[in-house]
Amino acid sequence: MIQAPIQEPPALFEEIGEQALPGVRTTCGSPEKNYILEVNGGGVLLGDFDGDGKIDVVIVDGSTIERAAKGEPGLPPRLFLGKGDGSFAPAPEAWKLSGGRWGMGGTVGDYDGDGWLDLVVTQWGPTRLFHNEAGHGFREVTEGAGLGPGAWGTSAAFLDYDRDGKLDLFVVEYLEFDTAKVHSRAEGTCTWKGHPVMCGPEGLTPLRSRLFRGSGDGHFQDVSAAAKLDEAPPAFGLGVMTLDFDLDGDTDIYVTNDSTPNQLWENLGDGTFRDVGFQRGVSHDANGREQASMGIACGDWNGDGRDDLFVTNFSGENDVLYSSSKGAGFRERSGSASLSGPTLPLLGWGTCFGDFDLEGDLDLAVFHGHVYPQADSLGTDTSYAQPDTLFENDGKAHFSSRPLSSLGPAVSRACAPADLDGDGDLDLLALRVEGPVRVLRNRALHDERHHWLGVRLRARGGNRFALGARVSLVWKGGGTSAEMRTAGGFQAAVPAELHFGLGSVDKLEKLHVRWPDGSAQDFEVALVDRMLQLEQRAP
Amino acid sequence: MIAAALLVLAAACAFPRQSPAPLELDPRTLPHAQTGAWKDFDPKQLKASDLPPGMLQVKRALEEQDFPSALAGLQETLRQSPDFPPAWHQLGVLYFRLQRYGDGAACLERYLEVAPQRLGDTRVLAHCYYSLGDYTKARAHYERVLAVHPDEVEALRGHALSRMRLGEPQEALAELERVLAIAPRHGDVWEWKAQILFDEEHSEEALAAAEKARSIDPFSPRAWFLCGRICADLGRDEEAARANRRFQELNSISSELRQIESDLLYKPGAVALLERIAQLHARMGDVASTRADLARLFGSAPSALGPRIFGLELLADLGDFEAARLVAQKLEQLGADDAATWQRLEQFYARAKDRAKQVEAGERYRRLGGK
Repeated sequence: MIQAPIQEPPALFEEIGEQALPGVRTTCGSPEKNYILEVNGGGVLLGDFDGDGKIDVVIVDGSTIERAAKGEPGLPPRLFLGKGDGSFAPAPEAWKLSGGRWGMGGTVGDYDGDGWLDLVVTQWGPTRLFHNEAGHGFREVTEGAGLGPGAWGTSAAFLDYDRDGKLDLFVVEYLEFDTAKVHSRAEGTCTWKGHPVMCGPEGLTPLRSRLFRGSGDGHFQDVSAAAKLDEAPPAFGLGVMTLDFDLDGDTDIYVTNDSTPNQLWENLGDGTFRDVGFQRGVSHDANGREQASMGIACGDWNGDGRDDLFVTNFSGENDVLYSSSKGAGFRERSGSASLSGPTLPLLGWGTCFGDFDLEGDLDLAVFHGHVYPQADSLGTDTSYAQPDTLFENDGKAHFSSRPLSSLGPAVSRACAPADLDGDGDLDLLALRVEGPVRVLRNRALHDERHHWLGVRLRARGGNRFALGARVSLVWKGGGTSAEMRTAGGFQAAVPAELHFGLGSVDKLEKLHVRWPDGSAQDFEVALVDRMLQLEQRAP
Repeated sequence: MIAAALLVLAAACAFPRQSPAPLELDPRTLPHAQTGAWKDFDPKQLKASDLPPGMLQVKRALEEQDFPSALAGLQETLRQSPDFPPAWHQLGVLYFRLQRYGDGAACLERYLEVAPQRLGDTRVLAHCYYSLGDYTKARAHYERVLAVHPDEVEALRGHALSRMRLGEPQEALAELERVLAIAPRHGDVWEWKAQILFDEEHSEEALAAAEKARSIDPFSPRAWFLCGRICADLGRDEEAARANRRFQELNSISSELRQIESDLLYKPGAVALLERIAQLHARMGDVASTRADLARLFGSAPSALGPRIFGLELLADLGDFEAARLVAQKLEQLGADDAATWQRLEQFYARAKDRAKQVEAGERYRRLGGK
C-alpha cells in the first residue's frame, strides 16, 4: 500500500513584518561583532500609548562603535502606532524620541498614575524616562528623575514593591564597558572553541541591579542599598521578570545573569529583598553551574496555581524550565518536559509563555541566534543564525517543538507577545540583529474548541494598570490564573493585559481579582472570546 | 590493545604539518579506503609494523595533552592510510575531548562503518550524541554498546542520564543503582542519583545520596550544591547556608579551572596556565589534584627550574612536605650549580624543620656566591 507522505502542519505563525513594519530595521554595531556591546540587539516595548485600544510598539535601536567613538548619539527609539490589524504606522512628530547613547531595552508603566503608559529606555549609559502626554506624545523627563548614573542598563521592570500605589522601577545592569579598555575581537585575545571572538563577559566588571522607589510624580530615589540589593555580588544582568513566586501578595523579582548565578529577589515586605535564588533552586543548572542566561518566560505552565519560570541560555547549556514545587521552591523539569535536548545546541534570547494555539494551556515561544558570527566556523556544533521554536504544551507535562514560522534560521533577539490584530490570539513581535523587525501573525484556529479571554485592569490609585494583580478564572471542573505585569524578560515589555487561552471552555463561573493593594473582587463573566476591562470598586 | 601495540613501536616517524590547520579541517573530507578494506580489522592482531608512521607521535602528543599536535598527526595518518580504524577511533575521542561533538560523532560513525565489528569500542559516540542534545540517539547507541559490554560503567551511566533527559526518572534511577553496584564510589553517579531523587521530591533520600557524593569527593562543588539545595528544601537553613558557602568557594575555583582547561585544549603546555591550575587546586585544599597538576607542569618543562621552585613552594604552603621533598630532591639535581635554587632549598628545608638539609643547602648556596 502506498502511504501518503506525512505533511508537516503549516507553522502557526506567519511572518508579516514586511507589510506590518515595512523597512524598519535595527542596528547594533558591526556585523563582525568585535565588542560585546554589539551583540544584545535592541528592545521591543509594547503598550497602548495613545489609548485607542490597539497595541503600539516602541523599537529601541542601538548604535555603532564608530558613532559612539565620535560622541554622536545613538539611533533613536521609534514609536509605531498599531492599526489594530497587525500592522503599524510611524507615530506623528509629537511622539518622536531623541537618540541616546546606545539603546538596549526598557519597560512601560504609568509611573504618575495619570492613566497613560510612560516609557523607560535602558541603554549603554544612564536610563532614560519619557512621560506620556495624555496620549499625544512623549516628553523626555530623564533629567532630575533620579535614575542615574547607570552604566549599561539592559532590561527594566515597573513594579510596586512597597505597595504604596506608586510604581517603582527595577533596572538590570550588565557590565562596565569601555572600548579603550576592552580588547577587540580583531586582536585575537579571546577565543571560543579555538576561534577568535569578542571578549566578555568573563574578565570584565559586572554591575549591580538598581531599584528606584517612585514618588508618583516622576521622581525616583535609588533605594538599592536600603533594599539590600547591594548585599549580593555584582552580576552580568540581562533579563528581569516580576512575579509573586511565594504568593504572599507582594512582588518579587527574578533576574537572569550572564555567566553569573541568576537571582530571585524575595520581597520581604519591609522594604528589603533577599536573594533566594539558591535556596529556591533557580540560580544554577542541575549541575550546580551558573549559566549564561538571557530571556525569561513566566507563567503557570502546569496549572498548579503558581507561576513557573523558563530561562533561555547559551549554546551548549539547555534552556531551563523551573517548575514551581511544594514550599515555594522550584524544580528543574527541562528534561521531563522535553525541553532540554532541542534547546541544547541553540542560544536563546527572547521567550514568552502564551496559549498560542488556544488549546487551554501555556505554550512557549523562543527566539534564537548566536552571539558570535564565528559560530558558523567548523566544529562549533552550532550556528550564528538559528531556528526559532514554538514549544507546544500537550497538556500532559510535555512540550513538542516545531518552527515558529517558515522564516528559517535567523539571528533573533528580544521578543514580546500581544494580540496585535485583535482576533483573540497572541501574535509576536521580535528583533533580528542587522535585520528587519519581525511581526509574526498567529493563525490559531478559532472555533468551539479554541476560546479565549482578555483582561485589562484599572486599579484605584497610582498603579492604574494594576501591575502585580492576580486574576483567576474559575470554570466548571477547572481554572487558571495569571499575574498582571509589563516585564517582558529580555529587553522587552508586554502590554498591561492578560490573555487566557481557554480551549473548549466557553463559560466561566467566576473571575476573581486580587488587586495590588491586597483587596479582592469577584466578577461575573458570562461570555468569553472578548477583551474585558475591569475596574476596581470604590472602597 | 591499540595502545599496547603503539607502545612497542620503536620507530619515531615525523609527520609533516599539512594545510589546512588541524582545527580547521573537516574530518568528513578525509579520504576513504575501498569498501571492505578494514572489514577484518582486529586490534589484537595489530603488529607494530602494521602501524602507519606517525601514530607513535600521536600517542606521545596525547600523553603530553598536546591535542592540536595529536589532531594533526591523526589527520595525517588518515591521509596516508585511509580509514585506518584506530586513527578514526582516536580522532573521534579527541574531538569529543575538544568538545567538538559533531566532528567526534562523524569520526566514530566512520569508524563503525569501516570496522562494524568494533561496536563495543564506541561508547564515546553515544557521549557525542548526548552532548549534542540528541538523547534518543544517545540512548539507542548506549544500548548497542551495552549489548556488547553489559557492565560498562560509563555506558550504563550515559544510558541512565539519557533516560532521565527523556523524562524517565524512575528508569534512570534504577540504572544508576546498577552502576553503583558495580562502582560504589562513583561520585558523579551519586550526585545524579541525589539530583533525580530531589527532582522527584524525595528530599531525605536525596540528601543521603548527596552526602555520600560529598564524602567521596569533598572538592566537588556540585556535591555541596546539592547538599545545600536539599537542606534548604528541608528547612535546614543553617546547614544549607554552610553548604552554600562552601559550594560558592569551590565553584568560583572550579569555574576558573574549567576556563583554563578549555584554554589548555588549544594552548597545550602553557606554563602559566598549568601553574594556575595547581594554585587553584591547592587553594581548594585538594592535595591529590595539586600533585597531579604539578606532575603535568613538570612534564611540560622537564629541565626547567622555575616550575619546580614554584611547585616546591606551593606544596610547602599546602603542608604536603612529602611531595615537596621529592621536588626538592629533583631540584638538587637540576639546579646543582644554581645559587638561587639552593637559596630556595635552604628556605624550604627551614620550613620543613630539616636542620641538616637546611645547613647543607645554605652552604651550597654560599659556596655558589650567595650571601
